[in-house]
Amino acid sequence: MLNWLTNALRGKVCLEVEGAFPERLLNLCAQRGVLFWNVEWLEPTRLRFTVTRRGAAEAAALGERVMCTVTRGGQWGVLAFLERFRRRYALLIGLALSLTAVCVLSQFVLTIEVEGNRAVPTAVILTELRRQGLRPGVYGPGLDEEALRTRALLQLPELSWMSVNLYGTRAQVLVREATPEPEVVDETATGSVVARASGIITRMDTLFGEALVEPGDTVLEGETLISGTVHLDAPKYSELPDLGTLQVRAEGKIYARTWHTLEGEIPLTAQTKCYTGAEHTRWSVTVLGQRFVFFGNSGIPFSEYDKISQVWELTLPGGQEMPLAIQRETMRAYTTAPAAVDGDAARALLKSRLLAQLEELVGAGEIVRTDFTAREEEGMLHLTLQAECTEEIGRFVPDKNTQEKEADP
Amino acid sequence: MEENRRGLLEKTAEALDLPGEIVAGLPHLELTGSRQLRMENHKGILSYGSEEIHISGGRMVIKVRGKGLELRAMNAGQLLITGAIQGVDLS
Repeated sequence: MLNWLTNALRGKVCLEVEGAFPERLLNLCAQRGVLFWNVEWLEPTRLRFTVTRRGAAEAAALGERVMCTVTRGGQWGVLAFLERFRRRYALLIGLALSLTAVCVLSQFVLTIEVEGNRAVPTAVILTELRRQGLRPGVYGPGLDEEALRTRALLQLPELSWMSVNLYGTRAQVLVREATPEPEVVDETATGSVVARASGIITRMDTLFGEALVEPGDTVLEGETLISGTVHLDAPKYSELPDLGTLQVRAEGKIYARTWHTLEGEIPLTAQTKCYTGAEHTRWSVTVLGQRFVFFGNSGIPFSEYDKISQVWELTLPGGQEMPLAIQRETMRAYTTAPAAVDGDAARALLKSRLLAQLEELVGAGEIVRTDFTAREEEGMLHLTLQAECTEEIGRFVPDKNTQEKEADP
Repeated sequence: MEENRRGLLEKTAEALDLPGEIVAGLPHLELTGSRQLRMENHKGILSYGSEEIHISGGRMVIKVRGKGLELRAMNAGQLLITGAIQGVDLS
């Protein structure tokens, strides 16, 4: 194995010697230090032996000195292999260009990988990074990762940490998301709990403050339910009528039966598309983030059209997308014409919209009963929702004095 | 004159019990079994064949007899012959 490797690296040449006394050449080679082996006596005046690539020329010269004809039988080795390509200029130019392309292109960022994000979408991070200069096709050594990282973090408050690492053509972006700040309740602000909606109170859980209403009472929207002004009674047998008042932050849960009326409308006719059959196709290629339209006019000859885009991206076997994509855009022309809308479908659509609106209004409360009333008027379908709900109606309102204090610098 | 000097060196080496191949440059033959013969201080190949190889040893000629003889390696001072060696004659 070692011999094979040595011969492969230094190369070997097979020589055929013909002359009256070919053994003289062997003796001369031995004296001059020309390495040879595999001596084969073919005929009394002809022999074959192998020498190193470096010693072949000297052996040939020595052969002339002893009146022998030295012929090269064949050569073997890495250098002999490479010598074959010495005159293949096109191959050499192609090889040089390929090496240059590899050296130059490896300096550009081709893929960007974002890792560590959960709630923040990758697209949001990539968009911000693109805005800051990191995108497929950018020159890697020209990037200032530290400045880029700082600028991107300032624009993405949802992230607490970011690291940008360049590995050849791959940019790895590691992020950590920030812990959301808990809602801070200002305990020093005094105020009252008022009704968010009108209704009949069913239950009250007063934590702080003085309750002004009780279950069974009917309250209007904006009416104070728990007051932040607590009256302090005088001690027993005291001559004072009372000890005055104490301002606190009123807190409590007030549940009530409420009634809501919501209205919605939808047109009974709609504009529908009628495709004319005319189409316009445009091809483009996106290389390193740059889009080139290479076939089809940029002008679109239709006033109203649908655009259908199909994108074929170059993807590596591992699923890694490369910054090379071909895009086909097909514009299909259409005209619009009014068409009647199905009444039942319109009613169902409007009903679902109103219910969604009511659920958002009630929040954690419960919808007890709903009643819908529909009417058609001037080509419109009007739907009225009357609902009875059970919900929490308390809403904290700070005192005016507190607000004034907060506003006072 | 050269012959006399060589003879003197050879006798001196023998008398003083010194290695002759070093003092007088005498040929040194080493036979490993019957498949390999190594020789030092040779003076060149005189004739070569698969059944007989003649090597110059200065004042003598070493004839190696055998079958499938092959000169595996050779340099200015040493050579290696392999094959089925049947005999070595000095003349």
